[in-house]
Amino acid sequence: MHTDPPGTASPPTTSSAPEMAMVPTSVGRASREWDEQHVDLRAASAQVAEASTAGFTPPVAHAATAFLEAWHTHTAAIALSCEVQADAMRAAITDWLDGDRESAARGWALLGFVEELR
Amino acid sequence: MTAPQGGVVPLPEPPSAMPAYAARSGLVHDCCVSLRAVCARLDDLGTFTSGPARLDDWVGGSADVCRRETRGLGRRADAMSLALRRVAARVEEHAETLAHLDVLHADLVATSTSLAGGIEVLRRDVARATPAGLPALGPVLHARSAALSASIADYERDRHRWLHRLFEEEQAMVAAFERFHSMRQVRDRFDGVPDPADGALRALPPAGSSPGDALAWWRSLSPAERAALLVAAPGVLGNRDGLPARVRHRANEVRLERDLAGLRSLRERGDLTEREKAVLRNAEAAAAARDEAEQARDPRTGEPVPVRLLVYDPAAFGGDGAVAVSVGDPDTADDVSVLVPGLGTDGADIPGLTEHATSVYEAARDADPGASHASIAWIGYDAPDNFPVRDGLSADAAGVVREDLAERGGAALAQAVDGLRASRAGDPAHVTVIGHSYGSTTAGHAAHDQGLAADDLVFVGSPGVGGGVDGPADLGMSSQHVWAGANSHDVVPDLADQGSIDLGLLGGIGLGNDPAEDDFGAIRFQAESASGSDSDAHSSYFEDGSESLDNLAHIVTGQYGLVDQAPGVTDPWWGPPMDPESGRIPRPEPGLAA
Repeated sequence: MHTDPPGTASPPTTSSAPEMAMVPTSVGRASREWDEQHVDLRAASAQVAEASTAGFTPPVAHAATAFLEAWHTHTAAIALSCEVQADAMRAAITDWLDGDRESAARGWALLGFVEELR
Repeated sequence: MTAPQGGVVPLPEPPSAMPAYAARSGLVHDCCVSLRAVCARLDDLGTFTSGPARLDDWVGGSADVCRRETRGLGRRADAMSLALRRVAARVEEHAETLAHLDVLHADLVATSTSLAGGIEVLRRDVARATPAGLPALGPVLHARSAALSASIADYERDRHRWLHRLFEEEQAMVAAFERFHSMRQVRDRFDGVPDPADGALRALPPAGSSPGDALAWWRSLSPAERAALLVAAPGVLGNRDGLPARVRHRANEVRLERDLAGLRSLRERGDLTEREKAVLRNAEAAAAARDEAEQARDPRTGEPVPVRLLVYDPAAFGGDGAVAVSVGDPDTADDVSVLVPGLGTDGADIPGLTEHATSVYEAARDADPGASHASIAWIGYDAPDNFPVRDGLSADAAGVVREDLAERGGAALAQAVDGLRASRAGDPAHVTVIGHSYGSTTAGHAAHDQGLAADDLVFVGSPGVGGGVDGPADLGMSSQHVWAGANSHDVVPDLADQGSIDLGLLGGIGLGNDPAEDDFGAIRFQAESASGSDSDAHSSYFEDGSESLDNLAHIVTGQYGLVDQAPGVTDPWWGPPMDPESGRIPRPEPGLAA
């Protein structure tokens, strides 16, 4: 259940095409949260890369280093996927604004969601 | 064996040298914590994709594509987390094995050195023996040689076992790293596999349930569920009163490392919000307090002191933060003390309070070397930023309002102590709560309002122990177990309400009675400081070598007969309170006395 702030709560959906219904503020907030996921996972990726293998014995340190390098890549990849998801949502909001003149009048309230903050 | 020149007693071959041991289990443990912190991040993504990211109110082609991607990402994150948890658990086991092997290695090195020395002594004794004396000495030397040979054989066997165990352990660890190296391996093993943490969280007792319920829940979980929760819900475990301290520590470490990595990354990018800055400040303070405490050595054994991060919630209280660090293990200690700080304390102050806890720990160990101790620096409530300022002489409403924080803090403190008790059912520790400054008001409320489950209650530098408390009976405690330390140079106790006609400083601020006053009924102990400076007096109670710390150590170890008592503050009706301790020269510090 979305919780829009007062004044934007009525869903400015397209009336003629229910399958295109969108609550842009919900999508906008979700895009922000995807950005947060991206930021957090990018930090996690760096954390994997920086994890120390100095405590392992030499035979294990080699495997540990290879593992951490691989997981640095895996976490960076999923971080990037989160950013792609955020971008896709921003693009959806932009499309919605472009395609619905009526809602465009209220678009100023959504401009913040179209920009990427993080 | 080799025979000495011209002799008949064989000398054993020297023992094989132990190889150098390069492993450092502490660093391996750190690597495990880093991996778990990453798991926690992946779990956050999984939780997000199954919750707010679903966007059920969005319909259409784009929405379908988005949701498909979201589901895919959630599934991927879940599988990655499960795989990484598996590896992290193996790394933790590896760290424990390496620590054990380290101990064995040191023993074997010592044995090897001793055996080599034994051979050298035997060689000299054989060389010294004259041919004429050999018939008599021969059997003795032969017996020694045989005994040495047997010991060396035992050593060689143990050495071989040690090497074999290390080799096997290394193979197992390498295999664990290689088992989940690629994403394909991760997907093949964990795609669509349910998270054991989910079921465990569904059975979690609701907020507000007792510490005993939390412990019962924890004990009902399988090892797999417990391990899963450590990374899936570290915030749930880390701050849950009633769970063992070791569990809370491990969970809080994961959360702390996750926060540090994420927030430092944002700081490097210059992208921290004000709230995040506050959270990072608290997180870094918690890490600094933990790291500093881990440097402490037990004054009696010289061994490292176990440190537990008992509470870690850096965003609590509007960003002031909640942190508690235990110096010593509260799961096993004979005596446990809880330090409750006062005004102006927030999460970022945990390093200073942990220093005090370390001082209490060390003093307690010195006072009673036969007992184990844990001293907890507890910032688990929202302390006021400053003393209330009276609005003229007639209104003390500000003080009454401020006491709300002590009331809420008292409830949290009582719950925390109940948690310590619950996790030690059947093996109770002797628990002492020490409230300093406004922390004594909080401790007073914990006892008066909540029935604080402490064996001893100590107030130091108290501005009052809360409204409605006229003596130990109002705290639900015997007067033999309520203590007050008040440095005569400390102006804060003067803020308490004193006597029936309060003529103390400012007429009192409405935080309750002075526990150091004679008619309160607590046992006052000596707490004068060597400096005698008014400005330092309020912060001198935990000073190393002080008579206050000495007395606190005897209280927390239950050695009441060794506490140096002081006469209470008197409050004659004809004038202001009078402190008999004023002007007394404090006992010199032990070092100075020597």
